[in-house]
Amino acid sequence: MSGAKTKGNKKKGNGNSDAVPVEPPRLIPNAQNSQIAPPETSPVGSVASSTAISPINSNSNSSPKRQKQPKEPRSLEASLFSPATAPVIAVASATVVATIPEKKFKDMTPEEQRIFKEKGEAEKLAKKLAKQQQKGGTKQQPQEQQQQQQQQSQKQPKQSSSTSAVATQPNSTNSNSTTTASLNSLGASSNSLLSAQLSTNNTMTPPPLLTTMSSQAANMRAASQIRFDDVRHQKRAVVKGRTLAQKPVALLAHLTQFEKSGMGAARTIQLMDGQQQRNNNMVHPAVIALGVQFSEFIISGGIARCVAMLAAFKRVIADYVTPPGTAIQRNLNSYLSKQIDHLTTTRGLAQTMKFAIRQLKSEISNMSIEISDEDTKVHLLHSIDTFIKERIVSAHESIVEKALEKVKHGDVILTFGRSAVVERLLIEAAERKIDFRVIISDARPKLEGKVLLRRLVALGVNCTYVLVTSLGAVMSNVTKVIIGASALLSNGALLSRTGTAIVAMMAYDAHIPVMVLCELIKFSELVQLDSFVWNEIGDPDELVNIKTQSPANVLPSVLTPPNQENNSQSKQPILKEWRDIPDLKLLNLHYDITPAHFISLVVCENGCIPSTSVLSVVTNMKLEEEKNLKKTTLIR
Amino acid sequence: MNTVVQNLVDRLRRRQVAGSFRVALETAKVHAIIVRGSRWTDAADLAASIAVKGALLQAAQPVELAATNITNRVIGLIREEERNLIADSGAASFNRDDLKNNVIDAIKEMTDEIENSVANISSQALEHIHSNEIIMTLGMDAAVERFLKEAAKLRKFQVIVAETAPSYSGQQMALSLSQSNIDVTLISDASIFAVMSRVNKVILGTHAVLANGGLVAPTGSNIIAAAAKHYATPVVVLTELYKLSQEYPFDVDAFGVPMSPDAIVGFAEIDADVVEGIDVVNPAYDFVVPDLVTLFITNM
Repeated sequence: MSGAKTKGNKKKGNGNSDAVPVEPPRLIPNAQNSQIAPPETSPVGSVASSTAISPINSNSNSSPKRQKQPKEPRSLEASLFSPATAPVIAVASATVVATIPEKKFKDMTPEEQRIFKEKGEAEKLAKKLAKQQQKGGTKQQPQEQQQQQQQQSQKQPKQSSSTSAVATQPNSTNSNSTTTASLNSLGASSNSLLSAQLSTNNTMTPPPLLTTMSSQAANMRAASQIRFDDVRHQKRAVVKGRTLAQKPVALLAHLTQFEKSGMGAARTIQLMDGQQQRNNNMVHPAVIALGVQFSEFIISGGIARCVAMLAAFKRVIADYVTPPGTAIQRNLNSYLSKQIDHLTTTRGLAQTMKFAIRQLKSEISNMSIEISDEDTKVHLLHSIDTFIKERIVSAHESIVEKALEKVKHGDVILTFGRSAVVERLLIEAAERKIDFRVIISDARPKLEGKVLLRRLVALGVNCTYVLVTSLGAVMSNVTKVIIGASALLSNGALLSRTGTAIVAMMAYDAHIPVMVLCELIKFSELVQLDSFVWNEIGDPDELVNIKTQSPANVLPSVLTPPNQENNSQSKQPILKEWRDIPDLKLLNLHYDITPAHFISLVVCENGCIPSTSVLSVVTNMKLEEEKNLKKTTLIR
Repeated sequence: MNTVVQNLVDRLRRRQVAGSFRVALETAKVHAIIVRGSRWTDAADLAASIAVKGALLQAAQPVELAATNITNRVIGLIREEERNLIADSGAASFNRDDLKNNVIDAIKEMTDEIENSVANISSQALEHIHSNEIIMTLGMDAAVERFLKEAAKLRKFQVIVAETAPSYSGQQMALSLSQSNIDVTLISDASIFAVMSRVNKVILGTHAVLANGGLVAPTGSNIIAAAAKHYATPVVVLTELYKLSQEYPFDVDAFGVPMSPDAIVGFAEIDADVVEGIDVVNPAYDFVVPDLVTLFITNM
């Protein structure tokens, strides 16, 4: 394919060297371009050096039918009821058809499959940016988030100066800087802040206010990431190096749905290096490795991820060298933000991680300017250690102590999946020789409970292992349910691995108490009513893999005659060719919401509270944070 | 005669004949052979011999309640035909051959009804499924599949199917429905509660319906019905008439039918000492409490 070779040249690289800031990232063969736009309106001859993407952007006049507004009033209905993909894509589907290869997905080689998936993302992005460009000439700025506007207003004068050398375009400078700015915003917002600081003589910008930082932190689950169906947010929510899902589920059109690009981590890193030339030397290798571990689920779970992230950040801080002309207290935060943004591209941040980041950043900002860099680093490393010790290790001890009062001889404890603190509780109970049984319920496709099963059996605990669908059969034996959390929301709801809600529901129906063990760092001020408001959508192919099925298990029944079953089911995955069936979509949710009334008790390090009191705890915690901030600001 | 019955008993025990539909048909066939071929003097004698054979069949596979259902229906047919003959002829006695032929005809009618039951149920699809609904289902059931496909011929709606591990019959259902131009989303069983907030209706199939209205249904039906109850979503159960049983669930776990744990925790993937130390529960069927079911749709 002609487009394949151009993958290395990403727009940012070209934007720096060449006079073309307005390219979308990807490749569409020329033949299609001529369908969409007459090439003579392409901005500059230098475009020819990269492959022919720009005709799409600069052309705003041709093909008037493509200038339709993104059907806002219809989009809600469409996203609820239409079987197709997000509405915007349907507009350009006619022109895109020409390039979709005739062969079916299953017949392609892996390389072709990868290209096919990536093209899907590329074309969508191209369309979005084309639309953006059409509006960019008329309006001053597209509506952006508040934080974007704040920093935009700060760096606009600097930005236009840095791009003045570049501005030989017929396009207005406004749209240039706008587009460049909006392209930049694909990375961190503070990326541009940093570059602004570096490129101009240092104007000693004031330290980012804590309110800005915390609003950034609160917006880390940024509005753009739950507004993927809004065109203006789409490009911001799209992440480099990850392929958009080919067949997104309409019910969750407001969330970005990715899938594995099929090439694994190495290719992703290579892609990133090519794309983010400016950021190339900005992401610490420890963080890159961490990102891979996150995306492959090698490290999973709120506490594990938080600890791993902090360990990586310790290395980042230790290796950090303050650029000349800046101070560590100002600069380290933005440097860390770049690492965090990289992590966000691999997997969304957990509540624990957000809390830790907030603490760390406020710690950094509060460091006095008189302290030397070395001492600052030492102090920061020490404060990270203290955080882990206080907020995680000692919190676990405290929670386990309180929870152990509730575990009695003869108890049959039901748990779901694998939670770090629940595991500690059960291990501690086993070591104290309490006579109890554990029923571990688990669910596909993650099957995380098997690890807990092995650990407990090694300690001699009497364990039963059951899939979450079979809970009806074992519920009559259960005396209490103990589960862990990913986050506790302010409306008392529990955000946890999908399947937890089923366990809590069955316990509630059977009048069995449900106990949630949750550290304070997981308490969140967010609110969610159901599992659709926000969720993490995993790789759909995980559902296809059904290795565990064995012929002995299938009860020959209802439809398939006996001679057919054993051949088809035990060998091949049933849905191997799901991509070729247009009406079939796979949805692999990672989280679900357990309503507050299912939960009887929440045990945190401060004590045992009902789930409805989460809001007051969260408010208290915020007050504490602000008090601490005020204290240190005063001292300075 | 005994060989025919014994043949079916063996096949039932080995699960070569399984599922209510197949069991019902085979039982009816065997009873027809008994009526035609065995030695009996009058209706009562015939009914008694049918009952004995039926008990044998039921004992072969206790969970296949269709065997007893069909047996009871055949006995009912015998009595009814006897009554009819007496009413027609007026005399106390009647021709044995007449009774035999009538009973065999009646059994043939019953067999036809069994075979058409899925078509009859699915003809009611348009009354229950409307445009732009989101319907959730589980596992693979012939009646549900046909029902949804019938409705899809006219109306546009979405279906969410839970994959129903470890049999993955839900995946087969998703495949089959999506190939008939129905918009299908496949979810893992764990997400059943998570997506339930958007579901308008739950449509389930069942293996058998017990005397109190409870269901013996594929594993997972219990949690899907319980989740639907929490969201006040109607649960519609498609049940052909031969699945209605007179058994009362005194012991709720009796119909669980535990299957090999290998599918859940593979023998190959864990060590010997771990295998010793754990229990794995892998029932084929769930018992669903009658309170959770909103509506039964039958082929009547």
